[in-house]
Amino acid sequence: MTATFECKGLSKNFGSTQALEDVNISIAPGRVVGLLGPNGSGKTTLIKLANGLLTPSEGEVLICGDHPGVESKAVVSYLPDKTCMPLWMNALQLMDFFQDFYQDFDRQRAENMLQRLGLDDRQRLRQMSKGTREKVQLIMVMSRKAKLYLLDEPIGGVDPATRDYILDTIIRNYDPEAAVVISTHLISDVEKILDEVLFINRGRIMLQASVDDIRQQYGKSVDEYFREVFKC
Amino acid sequence: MLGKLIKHEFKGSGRTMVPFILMCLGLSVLAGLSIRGMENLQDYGWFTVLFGIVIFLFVVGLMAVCIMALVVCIERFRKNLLGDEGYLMFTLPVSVDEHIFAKLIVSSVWFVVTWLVCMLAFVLMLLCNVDMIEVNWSEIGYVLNEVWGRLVDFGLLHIIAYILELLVLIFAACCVTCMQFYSAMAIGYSFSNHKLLLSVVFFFVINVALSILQPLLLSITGNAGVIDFMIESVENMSAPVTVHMILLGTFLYMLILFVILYFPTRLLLKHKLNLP
Repeated sequence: MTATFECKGLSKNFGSTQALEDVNISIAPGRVVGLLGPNGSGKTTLIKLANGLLTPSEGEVLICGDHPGVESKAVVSYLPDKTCMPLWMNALQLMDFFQDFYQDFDRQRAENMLQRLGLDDRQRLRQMSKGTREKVQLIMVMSRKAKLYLLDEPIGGVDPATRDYILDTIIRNYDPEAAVVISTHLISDVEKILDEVLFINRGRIMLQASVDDIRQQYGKSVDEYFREVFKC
Repeated sequence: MLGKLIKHEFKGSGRTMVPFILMCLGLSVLAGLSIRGMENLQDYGWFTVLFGIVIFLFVVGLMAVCIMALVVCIERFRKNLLGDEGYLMFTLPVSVDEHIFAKLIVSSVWFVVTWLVCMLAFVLMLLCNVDMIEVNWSEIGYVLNEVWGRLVDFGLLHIIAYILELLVLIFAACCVTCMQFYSAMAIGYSFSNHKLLLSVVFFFVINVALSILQPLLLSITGNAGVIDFMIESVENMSAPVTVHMILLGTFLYMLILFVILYFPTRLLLKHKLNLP
């Protein structure tokens, strides 16, 4: 079976700084994977490379067997770690925008989620709080029936109650045949929805294992094990 | 997908441009009425001051709409592709070429529209100012008839072709101007720091480089005997065809400039994108 997301000998340098070094990973369809690492470990760089926003210095990234490009972008749903939607738009305009460019965008699903969260679809993003913008952005991203969801810090800027709603949204809305990669350092919050984890530090993958294996092998939760591995 | 990008680009830029265009046209009517009012006023009072302010605002409005077309051209590229919105735009299933062309086409259309709006504003101002009863329509009809006769003598097909060629040239010139800004920003924003400052610096560097390139191109083509060949060819042509050849030559020159600016921009956006 073709992996949904694969990196082979992937390295990325920014001048003399090595952001990623010889990364080899393979994520199968249907898996929810936590990309976990301290700040500056290379999580965002890896996600940007998968989206074609950066070009590898060495090695390759494959999305469903293709290099990042127009074809791969049609099947990847990406949530960046900042507000990237035009602030002059409201949710209705955003839905029009997504519907125009993504064939897999489910407008009904987006409208239901907006309604459930009590968000005004005519309010401009500029007038919303940071947390509300993040919710709208996540709703747009999760309303696609993509093959790979790349979520960069999806719960970073929201309150604990909304975190639960967001994680619930991710789990309820993704296709069981799709893979989800969640980059975060808020491990205890996301742990309950993860199948696998990838520990990354200083641009190198330190561990790729299933959550169950970690619990069995080390007798610890992923959060506890992470704290032990990355102890300062 | 290019059509969809253009549609959304018009939505994004139209929010700024349309109010300015409407304001400009509205002010042109008010300015025309003000000039007429001033001519009819017997003594200088507050009305004269008010009319003067309206005429001044009309001139400012004309300048503002031209400046806004330039600002929109730069800002749409900078914010939408090189700012935070770039994360959304560059992850759409769309090629870099389509992104650049959508921005180019829409900005160039706004430049041409701005130019037409400025002319229309002047016409509107004059129409509001001129007393229609006093116009000698028979004299205007005679002049128009005379002009039409001359055009037919020259060759109506040539005239239509000139107008179309000129429109294409104006559009091409707008595209080259946009590309100068885009290439400067693509270079400036590929650096990690001082992106805006570096973009301004590179804009001037590119302009200087192009002004050096211009005589260089002429000397290269001159040495290769292209210019001699062109002069010889033109000497054997009729006057209307010569004008076509000059317009075609100018277009080819624009095309060369466009290609020189386009490919580095495309390369930088594709492989050296450095989003914030």
